[in-house]
Amino acid sequence: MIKLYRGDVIEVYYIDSKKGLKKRPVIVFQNPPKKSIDTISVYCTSQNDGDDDNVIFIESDSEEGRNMGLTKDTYIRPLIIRPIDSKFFVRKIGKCSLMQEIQKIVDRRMAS
Amino acid sequence: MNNITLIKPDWEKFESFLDFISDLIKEINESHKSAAISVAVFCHDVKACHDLRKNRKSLGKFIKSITKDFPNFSEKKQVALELLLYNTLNDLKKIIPTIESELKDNTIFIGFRLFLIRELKRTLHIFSRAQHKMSQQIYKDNSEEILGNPELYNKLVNTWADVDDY
Repeated sequence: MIKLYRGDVIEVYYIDSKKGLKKRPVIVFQNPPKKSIDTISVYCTSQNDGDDDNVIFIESDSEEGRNMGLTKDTYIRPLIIRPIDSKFFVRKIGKCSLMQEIQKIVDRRMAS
Repeated sequence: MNNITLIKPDWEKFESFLDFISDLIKEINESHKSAAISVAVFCHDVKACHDLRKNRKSLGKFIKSITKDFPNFSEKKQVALELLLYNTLNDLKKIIPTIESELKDNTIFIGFRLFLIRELKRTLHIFSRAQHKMSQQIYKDNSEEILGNPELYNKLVNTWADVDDY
């Protein structure tokens, strides 16, 4: 298992409702101090649920999209944070430089 | 080589190689508009063909030498290097069809067209092979383990149970 850092964009497995085991990007929000604990990651999706205030939109052709290694236009949803077992990790695909923006959205929700 | 920054400058060889191909295509298209016979275009660019082939070969040697030294690099450097190759490969996969479609212009001499396509494919192969070798050394494929282990499978389903597919 390779060492991960906050802001790393990684590809993880998920179960697609139709096609079985597939891959999706997530952003490392907090890396565990011990290997036994899951990595805390921020959810990314290509679908818009209309909550524009709490998402960050990244176009795959933009510089940020390329740095993050995204293949589709993607919505980062900082309010959906999940622990990911290291066994579901596929590979590192890029680096996200928007951690401050992500943190701001999380902090805003925590304060309200 | 002690760190990744020492490798990056040499990487410009590849960027110049791609620029070289793009410029060459533009040049050929433009020069052909004024040329009466396409064979003349081909003959005119024989030196360019040699340069192109030479660049591709030196790129191949360079990548091969890095692949050979790869196990001796630190984990951080291995991940950075593999990622660089992975991204370059993805870029190439996007660029190559575009260049190929430009080359479908029937006015370009067929021998030259085939030569360029062959060089592009070989370049893609160089990156593809190197990235695959490096990737196998760093990342473990857990897909079969997940599918064969109900506990892991259920944990994965539960992790993403309430969210959309990507």
